Amino acid sequence: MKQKTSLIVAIVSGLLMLGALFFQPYTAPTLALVLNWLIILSSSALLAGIAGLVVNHLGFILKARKGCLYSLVLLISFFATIIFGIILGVDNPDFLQGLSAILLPMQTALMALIALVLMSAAIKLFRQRGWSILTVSFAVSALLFLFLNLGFVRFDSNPALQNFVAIIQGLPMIGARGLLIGVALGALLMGLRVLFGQEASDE
Amino acid sequence: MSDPSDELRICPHCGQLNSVYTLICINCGQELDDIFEIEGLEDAPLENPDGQSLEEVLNSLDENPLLSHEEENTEDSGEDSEVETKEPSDEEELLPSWLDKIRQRAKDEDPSGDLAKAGKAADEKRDQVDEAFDQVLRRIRESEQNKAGRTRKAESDLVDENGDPEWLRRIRELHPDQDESLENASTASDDEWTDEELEELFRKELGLHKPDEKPEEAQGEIFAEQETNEESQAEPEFIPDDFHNIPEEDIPSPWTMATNEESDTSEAPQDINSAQKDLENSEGLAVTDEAEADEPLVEAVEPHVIDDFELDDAEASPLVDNEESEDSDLPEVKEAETPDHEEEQSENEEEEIDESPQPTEDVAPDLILLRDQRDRARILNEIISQEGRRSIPLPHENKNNHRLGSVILSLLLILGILATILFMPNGSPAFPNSPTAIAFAKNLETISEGQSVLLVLDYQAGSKNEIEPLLEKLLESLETKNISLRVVTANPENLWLSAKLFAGSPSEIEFIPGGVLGYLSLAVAEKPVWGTLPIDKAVKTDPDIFAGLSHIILVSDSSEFVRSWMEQISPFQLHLNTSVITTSVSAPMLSPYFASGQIKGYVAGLSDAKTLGVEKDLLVNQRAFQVGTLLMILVLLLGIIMKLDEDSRSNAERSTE
Repeated sequence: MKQKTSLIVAIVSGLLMLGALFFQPYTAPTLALVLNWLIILSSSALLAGIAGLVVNHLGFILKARKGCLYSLVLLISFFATIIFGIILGVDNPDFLQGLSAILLPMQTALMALIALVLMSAAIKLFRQRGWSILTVSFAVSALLFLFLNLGFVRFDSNPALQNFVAIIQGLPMIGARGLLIGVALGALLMGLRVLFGQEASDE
Repeated sequence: MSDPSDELRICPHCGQLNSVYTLICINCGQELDDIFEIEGLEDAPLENPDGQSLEEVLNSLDENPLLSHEEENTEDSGEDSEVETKEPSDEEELLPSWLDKIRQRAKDEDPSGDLAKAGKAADEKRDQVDEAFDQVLRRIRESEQNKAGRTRKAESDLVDENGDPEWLRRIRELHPDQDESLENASTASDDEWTDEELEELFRKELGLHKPDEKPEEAQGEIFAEQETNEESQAEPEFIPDDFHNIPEEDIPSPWTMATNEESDTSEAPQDINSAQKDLENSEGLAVTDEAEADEPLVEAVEPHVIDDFELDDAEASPLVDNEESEDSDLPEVKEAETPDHEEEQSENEEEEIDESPQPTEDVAPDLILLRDQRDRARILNEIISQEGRRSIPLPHENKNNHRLGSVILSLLLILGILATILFMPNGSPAFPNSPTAIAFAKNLETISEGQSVLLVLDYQAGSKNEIEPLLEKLLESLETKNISLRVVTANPENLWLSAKLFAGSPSEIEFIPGGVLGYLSLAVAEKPVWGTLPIDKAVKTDPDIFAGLSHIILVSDSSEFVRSWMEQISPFQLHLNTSVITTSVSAPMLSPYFASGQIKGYVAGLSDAKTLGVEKDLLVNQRAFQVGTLLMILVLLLGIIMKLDEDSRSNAERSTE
């Protein structure tokens, strides 16, 4: 019965959203209300997630688990942000400057690390994956687009070559479109499975 | 147990008792091929002794009548019944018969011959000697079995708790004096026969003199072989006490030999060693694993290891005795063979000295190892030495090298970019204007004065340097047109990240809770008649953010956010022109929406900055970007080259294999 309840709720919610979408002028207030409920629920879930995170890291510190120093740093920064945000306000320039001074270099360094990881992955790709269609196509496309994006080569004087390069540069759009179609089909299939009760929401 | 008459041959020429495996008489040297026809004995397969395998030799040892003595004594003692399970035979009855045959043959032969001369000392009291000898042997075996019964557990298999096989135990029991000499004398109990007591008893029963009082003739006959084996004094004593196939008169008693161990007893093992060497050489059983001395466990055991010769001596004692007797009776042949024999003996001794400096006299009998036992010990040593080692290299075995390579690559990238930033001019983007950027610029131009534009911010700090120059240029363009701008964000990060951009602007960044759901809730825009929605109270100003808008400009570094907007929110606001400012990474995912007309245009980071007229000072260093891209190309090529090299090596190894 418990499973059936959640299944019934999922099916009704899906049908309601579909109906609100198709009969939009008439169902728009209901749709907005349901979306607000959803926002409140998701915000509550976010708060619950934050509370769980704090409790877990607090447990790590109390148990002196390995790496508890990171947990301590997390909790200190978390509570400091909350306290200063409540005291100074989220619009305080000093508070925002402090956040910017921390987050900006951190995220920039993270992006640089991603570049290094990609380099390491590139050099390990063929040794670990061997020669396959995937690796060869990746290598060819990566080399091609990296070279084209260098900006060293211009094909303005040769329209035919310029068109060829344009076709080449259109390949990412083809791939992206395929991805988007695949994602859309997957979402549609998943929605249909939920609506027909073939996808248990609690599993 | 087979009939002893089947196992022994009597030489028709001299009456010498020979082994069935002996082709020529050990006394007179005559061939024994026709011996069975003459004697009428059952024909036994006459095989070349050299062609016999060790297993056959052991089998012959098992069938030896002297071993049946042991079993019989075991029965008599009533102890070790589990160890000795075979039924006793009637060999005691048979033994006098073949002895009678020998003696009868000896009588028929020339009494002045070698055989008669050899048994001259004990010929008169032969019956008494036989009886006394059997009695002595029985007592010896009883004492030995009593001793063995205390030290050994009952065994059901052929191997005891020490790993010694059945045949080896029997051999040891056949040579109790050797075992006793190897063991500590203090361990002997009071109820056992000591060597002195046994010797005295034997001497008393035989009526012989003490060894130092023996006639020179008898000693000369008994130890005839001593002269040819002087060098074997250092060898461990080996007393062939109870088995022989030659008349007892020719064999020195073990106790007599024990008393003369300094000079007398060493000859027997020497000859046995030589005979055993011949046997092993003929059987291909020569020891070849002498090079194992460098192994730790073997080295540890080696000082206590008696060479295989010594152990195999006992194993093949009947044959050895035959050949020993043959050698003793054929001095000319022995002398001819002596130099080679001595050379082999000396070589073997040298090897033994190299491997085991300790003489084997000090070796306890339980520490005696056979060749296969030593091999097993060597294998065990190898297994122990390999314990804890990896036989198969793990993928992360060269982790340090990989780390070093990663560090080098990272340093190369960092130093290259740093050098470019510090020592090279910024440069200017040389990219052509992309169609998407041109479309974005055209869409921006369509925004006329007095229209309202919604600017949706959703980017992170890491993308700030790529997005904000474009956003700054956009704001300048919109301000020049006196356009009503509303800026919203569902990302709290943009509240402080973009604050500087809108510091002097009348527009204020508004926070929309709920992310895409909040935008969707606002996009539906139909308020219920019964009141307001919770989100309406969360927005500071007018919650209808889409009211009166003509254009929406999404500023995001996430293609997912743009996709969600286009798929979830735009259907409720179809009349709005949507354009995007994004990064180069997210741009390809937006191209389908641009191709379908859902997005009027987008600019993607550094490559499209030129379209908006962004000054190069506001952009990141173009040269640094190019250097980083070149390094990535090189690294990718390096990975391909390494893979090709690895493949070529593996192919070469396969071809060689």
